[in-house]
Amino acid sequence: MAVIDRVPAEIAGRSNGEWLQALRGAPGLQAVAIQELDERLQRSLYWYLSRERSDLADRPAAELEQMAGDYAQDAVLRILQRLDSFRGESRFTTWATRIALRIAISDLRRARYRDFRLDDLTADGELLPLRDSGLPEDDLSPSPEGAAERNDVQAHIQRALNESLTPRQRQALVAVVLQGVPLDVVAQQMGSNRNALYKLLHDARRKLRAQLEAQGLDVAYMLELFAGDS
Amino acid sequence: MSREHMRRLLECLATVHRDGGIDCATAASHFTSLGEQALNGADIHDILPQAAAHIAHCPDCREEYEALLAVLRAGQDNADRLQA
Repeated sequence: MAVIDRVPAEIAGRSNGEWLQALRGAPGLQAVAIQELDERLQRSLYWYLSRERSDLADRPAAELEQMAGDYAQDAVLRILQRLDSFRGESRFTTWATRIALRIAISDLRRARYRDFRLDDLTADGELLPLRDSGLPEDDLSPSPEGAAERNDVQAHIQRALNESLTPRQRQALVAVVLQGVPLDVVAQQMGSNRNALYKLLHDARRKLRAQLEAQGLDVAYMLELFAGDS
Repeated sequence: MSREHMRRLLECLATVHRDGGIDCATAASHFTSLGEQALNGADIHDILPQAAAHIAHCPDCREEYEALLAVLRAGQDNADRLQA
């Protein structure tokens, strides 16, 4: 059966208390509530995958339906395990939808970066050009007077990257900030988690900025130098 | 490094003192209530500035929050359509 291509409307639905009661209830009641929740999540996920994900635009509807069904099933299991953590700060269905979307987005990130290897990014502290980065080749050559200044600043930054950051910080910064690899993916390959990686990156950014400022290099000035077309 | 890489690096340095000072899990714990309030027209910067700043500067959290908001909006649109 095709998934209805609309996100379920929140009209006269169950209250939060009713959802919790039903999902914790007697097997018969619980089965009905689980079915209802699963269908709601499938519809929301299908809408998200088909309308909001340009990277999935070439996938047939049947495949997106299958994906939405699989993610919804995983989400229902997780929701049932976590019912006690629902704090009632939103509608229950909003809370459930967030869990389902997180499952879908995390899986799509892993799939997109399944060939990504963090170790490919760095060698001896140098930044390596990346495969499939989608970025143009180095374009620092035009505008002679600006080019010399930019090359000088770039040398300072490269030195600061090598001297002020740990290899782990440098690796994370290159992957997340320069290459745009999701934190989830990088954290997994580092044997870490997203929270810890975010803090690692925050500390790295602070150290790098402090090092550059100590050399008299103002970030706003450098940003202006590398912005625009000249 | 390409100019684009330099620009990305410098932008992340420029915003280091403005990213809210909270971690992803803390920010994410507010997504549902922020999303519902945003749907009702509230500015999340007024409600929870730290979480709003984190969302603005953390790409993973931004993607997840914006996905939730998009789904909530679509649900609201559907409700409006059914009630019209």
